[in-house]
Amino acid sequence: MALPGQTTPEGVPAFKLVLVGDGGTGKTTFVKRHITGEFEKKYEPTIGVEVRPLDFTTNRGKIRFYCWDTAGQEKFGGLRDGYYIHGQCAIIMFDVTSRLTYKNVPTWHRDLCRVCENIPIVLCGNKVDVKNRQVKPKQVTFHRKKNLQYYEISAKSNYNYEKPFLYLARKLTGDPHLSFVEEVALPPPEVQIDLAEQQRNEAELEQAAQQPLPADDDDELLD
Amino acid sequence: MAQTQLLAALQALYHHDDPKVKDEADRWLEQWQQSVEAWSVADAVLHDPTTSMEAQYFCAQTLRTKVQRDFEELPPEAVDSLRESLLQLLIRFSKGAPPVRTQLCLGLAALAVHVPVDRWTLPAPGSSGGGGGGGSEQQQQQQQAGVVRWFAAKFGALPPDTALPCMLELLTVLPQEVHSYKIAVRPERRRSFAAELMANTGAAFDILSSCLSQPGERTRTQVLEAFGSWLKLNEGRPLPSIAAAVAAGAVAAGEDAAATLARHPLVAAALEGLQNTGETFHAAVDAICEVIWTTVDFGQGAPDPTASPGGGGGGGGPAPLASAALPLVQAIVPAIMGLRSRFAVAARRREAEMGRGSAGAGEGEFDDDEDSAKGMARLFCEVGEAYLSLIITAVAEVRAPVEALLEVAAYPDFGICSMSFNFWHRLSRFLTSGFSGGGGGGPGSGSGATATGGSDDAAEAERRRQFFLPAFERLVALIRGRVREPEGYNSWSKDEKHEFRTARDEVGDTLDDSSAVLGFGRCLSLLVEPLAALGRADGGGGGGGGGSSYDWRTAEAALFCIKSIHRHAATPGDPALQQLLEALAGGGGLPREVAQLQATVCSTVGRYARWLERSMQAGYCQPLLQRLLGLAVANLELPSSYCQAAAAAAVRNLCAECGAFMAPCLQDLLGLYSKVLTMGAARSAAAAAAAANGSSSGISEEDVESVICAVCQAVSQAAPPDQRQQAGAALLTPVLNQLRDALMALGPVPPPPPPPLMAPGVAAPPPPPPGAGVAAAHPALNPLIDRLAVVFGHTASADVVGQMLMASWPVLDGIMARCSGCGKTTEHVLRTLRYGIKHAGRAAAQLLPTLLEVLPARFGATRHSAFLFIVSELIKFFGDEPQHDSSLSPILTGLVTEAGRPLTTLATLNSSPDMVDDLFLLGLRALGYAPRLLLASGDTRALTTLLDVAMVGCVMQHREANGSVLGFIARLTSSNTLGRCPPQASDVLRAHLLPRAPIFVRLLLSGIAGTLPLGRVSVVGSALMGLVAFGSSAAASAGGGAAATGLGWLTAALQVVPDVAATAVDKQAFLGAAAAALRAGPSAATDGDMMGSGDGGGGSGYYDRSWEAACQEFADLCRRNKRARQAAQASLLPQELAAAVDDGERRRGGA
Repeated sequence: MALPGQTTPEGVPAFKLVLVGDGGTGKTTFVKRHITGEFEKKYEPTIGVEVRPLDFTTNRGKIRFYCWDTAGQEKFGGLRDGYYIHGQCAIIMFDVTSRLTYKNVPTWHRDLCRVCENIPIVLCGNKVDVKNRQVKPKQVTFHRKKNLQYYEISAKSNYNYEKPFLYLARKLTGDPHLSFVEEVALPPPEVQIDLAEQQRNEAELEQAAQQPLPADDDDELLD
Repeated sequence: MAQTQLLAALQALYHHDDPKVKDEADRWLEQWQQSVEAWSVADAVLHDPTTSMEAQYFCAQTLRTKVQRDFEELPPEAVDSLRESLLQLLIRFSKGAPPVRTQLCLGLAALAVHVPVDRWTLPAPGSSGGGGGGGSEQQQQQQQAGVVRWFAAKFGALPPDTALPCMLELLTVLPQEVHSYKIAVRPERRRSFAAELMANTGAAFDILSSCLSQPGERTRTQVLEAFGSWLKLNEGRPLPSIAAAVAAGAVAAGEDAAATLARHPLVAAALEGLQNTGETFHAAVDAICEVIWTTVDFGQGAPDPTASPGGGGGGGGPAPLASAALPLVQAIVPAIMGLRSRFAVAARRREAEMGRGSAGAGEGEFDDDEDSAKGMARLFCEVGEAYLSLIITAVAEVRAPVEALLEVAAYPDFGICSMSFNFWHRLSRFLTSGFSGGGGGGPGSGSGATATGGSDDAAEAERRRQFFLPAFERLVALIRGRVREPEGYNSWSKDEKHEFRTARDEVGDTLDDSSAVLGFGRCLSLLVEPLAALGRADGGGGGGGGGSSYDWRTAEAALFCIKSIHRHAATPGDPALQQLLEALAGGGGLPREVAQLQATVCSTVGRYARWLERSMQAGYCQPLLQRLLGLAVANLELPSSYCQAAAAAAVRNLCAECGAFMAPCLQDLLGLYSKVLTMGAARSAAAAAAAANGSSSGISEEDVESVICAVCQAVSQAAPPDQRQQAGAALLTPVLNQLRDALMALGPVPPPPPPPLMAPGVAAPPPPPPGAGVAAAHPALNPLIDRLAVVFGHTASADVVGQMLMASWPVLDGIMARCSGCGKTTEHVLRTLRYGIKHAGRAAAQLLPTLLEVLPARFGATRHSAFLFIVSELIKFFGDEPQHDSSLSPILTGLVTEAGRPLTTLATLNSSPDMVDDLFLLGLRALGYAPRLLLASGDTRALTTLLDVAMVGCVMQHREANGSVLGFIARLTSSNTLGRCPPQASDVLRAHLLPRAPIFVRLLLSGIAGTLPLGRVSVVGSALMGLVAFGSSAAASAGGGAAATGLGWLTAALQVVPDVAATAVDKQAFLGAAAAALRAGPSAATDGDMMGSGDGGGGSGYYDRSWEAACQEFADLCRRNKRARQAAQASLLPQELAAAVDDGERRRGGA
């Protein structure tokens, strides 16, 4: 496996990406989306770390992230920040339906910065497809800090899937014009969420929220 | 030897290609870290100069980890030598790799958290030599020095270039580690450490101040980082406690604490640091932001970190300044405002770089200038948000911060521009809702409204609004152009386009905020300006054309902005708006062929449908509706799916809002209806023919649904009441016919395949249900089912829907029978059925007998959890009518027992969380609408099934499923539930719950102690208290002496928890809290809350703050280290559950 600043045997530049965040925020699902396309409904906490290569094709050639998908939940297990050394970029994931996971973002950020100084970091608010959202976009201000970018994503609907990787790739290569040339082959999204509809026509958005089509308004079971 | 093995494992973990090898190394390393020999091996590696930085880092991290979590295992006499050896290592690495040094500092910080203040003593006065910073003050200390001075004394003897990096880093991490959950310490020790450290603030500030005289930018940067870190110790609470500590250290007394900090050299250094570049600048920005937040008073407790600073959380006004903080504010704000000129330079440079207009999404975020600009913008924003309470007073002094935020809004990069949007949003909110009730509208909309009562408040509110008008006008002018689609847009990637659209929506939101302050009319006139200018440039020519030179992008942008402020259009018949819509209805001189433009025309029309309806109610705009509808329908034919979607949405909006006025349009709409039914999913058959004769290919299925929805709404509102039944049938028939045809096209159920040859004595497996894969083979089927759901969902009269449902049932049931093997299709049918039931309400009664007969059988065949949904809908509508009990009860029992049958182990629950979730949502609904069905129907099988599954489900990890289970327990035990049942219900509940309750209590206690994620503790606590209260009241009503049965269960459960997790005192405290909560009784306000899911409170019944806090404390206690947590879990959980819950640990440790 490549060392920092090195390349894969095929000569592809490779970077160590550290993926952190509270347990259950969807880190593994997010990564698996790229590799196998599956969307996993069941929750099986990651143990320790799982390292997966993620390949992207850009207008400047191929690029690989070795993604260190770390356990979020195990407080006492795993090596925790033992995995961070030589990390060149990072993604911090939280779950917009759980306030607590956002509250812990500064801790994850600090732990990262203590080991990897000045690396580009993307903050990802996952599960924006869920209706019962607890962390609203305007409440997310942590990314005003240096070297931090924020994206809202949904691993379930593929929403903004590429964004974090594109930002990191641009930062790492120092090339602001780098872009992914082929659509990452993602399988069809699990749900067609309002946000996906927005791509088609943002005018639809508000209406869709007001009058859900026969979709999953499960939360009505509340009453 | 051990060292060699360690290094090999590290090499494998970090560099080996094979995931299996990596995983093995990972596992080995984790176990090694927990071993006793790790202490010495790590120490040896760190003393060996030949080892790699990687190995050194890992060993330092190991030592830190062990101090953090294994400290309780150390004999007390080992503490001093451990501290000494960590200190020596730190000194050794003072100039070594920073990550290694950081880990060693964290180790020492963790030690400080564990070791009480009386172990941090220094030799008596006179014995200490002197040296570095703060030496002279040591003379006054007797023995206890406090951690800060203790370290200062240790480092004081070393040369500054060695001592400084260590001391500064320690000072940075000490306050950061106060709240580190990784340090396995008892909650009360953590609290007293926080207090000890707070008392050390003065000492820390003295040392940091003295470091300012040391040369080097790095040193200064570190001083500022450490300063910020100490300020954060206060967690955003107001200044006094920190300042008091400073004042106590610096001045005798009497002087105002905040004033002391205002003149403090560290504040001065931070402000000075803003003049720097690079690291020092950024450290200064961080520190100043912390200073800012110490001057704001958020009321009791720390501010909610997710409620962004300045928001103040609740509905009240912005958080006020902390008392006596004004001098500090007056010191920092002007200094920050001094950055405006520098920011302006950055903005100009950036503008030149971007070469105006040649846009491109998200470019050039990378050079340091950009980050500095972001830092300055951040300061401006934090000032604006923190001092909103001052800013809204609208006095001359607040002009500068507001101007600064306008400059942020003017910054070329959208990422920075949009940082200001939060401020505008809050300012707008406080300006329009701040004073006395108010609430509605916004001052501009009805200018007379604010004058009522002639109160001073209203006058003051209006004065403030006037004060900020120019700022909001400038804001609108600054951002309205940003929504203009750039020339090269069409060649952009999907990603870039999406980014642009998101940015546009954010601008739209801010325009909406602006309009609230400016008033609709004023804002509209600003937004129409570019459109009007275009009209003039165009020569005002004779419509329709526009020609290729027409700047449609500017027109489109203007319309986009106009549509963004639609919420504020309050005045019926507003002439300006009417004029604009009239113009749009007539084409407005806008080129027809530009799809993007026409799409925005449509969405604008759609957004103003509500205003149009109100205007028509008031007698205005009567002929406009038909013309606008005509425009939308015409745009449905344009060859652009983008535009078609907007047009379909506009048709839908117009029909939804103005349905009652649609009578003149009904014929046209019905024509449109039958036309679009052949499009979308139904098109495939007719597509060839259509394409052959060159007609347009029609609209997408989604748009078809929009039109169906529109026409159904218009017809059901506009048709005369006596014709609604007939009109409904006319709408239903073609949709149902299409669906019936699709079902016929599937053909009869194919004969089952011949059973496989089985060994003698082995039964052949049952044939698979028919229809597997139907959805894939017949892509039109599910969309056609959905159309039916749209018709049900948008027909206004329940009676009409009831008729429709009866008419549709044979087809729906036919599909269920034919396709029971296809989960997707089954789901679509059930969803449609659910919509039908929901909108028919009690009019679905005629279908009830049929459903009762068919549903259990179909559920048995498919095990599709959506059936549970259907039943829950039936219970919602018929649960309160006892005459249906005889039919509802069997179906509830049938489905619940069938669903629960295989759910016997944690593994089976975990593998079907959806089923568990739906099962308990059904249970919750039954308890909510008809608890007697579960508790007093004479058949208790449903209740016992739910209880048995809950017995496992209450410790499952899946958040939603677990939340539903816990919610069920809480509601089942609520007195409210029994209160709505016949008397025999309480006997039934007692008979079934009492025997299980002690185990439930144990399981829930284990949930608090560590089985469930920390975020769920409060919900578990609610369920637990529900059980305890139930036990107590059951015992009381049984007349038994044991009024404390509920507490008895809890006592028994606590008794099995070993000392290593919680001591007798801890348990007593927890029991005391439970007893107090029991006395306080359920809080009335929350008893109605039905769901236990989500981690933000919301459990029912006992939502008592102090009980919640007690649960949290007990959770923290038992989770403080692995040993405690595992011990608690192992003692509370039955063996088989313990094994399953700790599946992770087991997988790791064993096979």
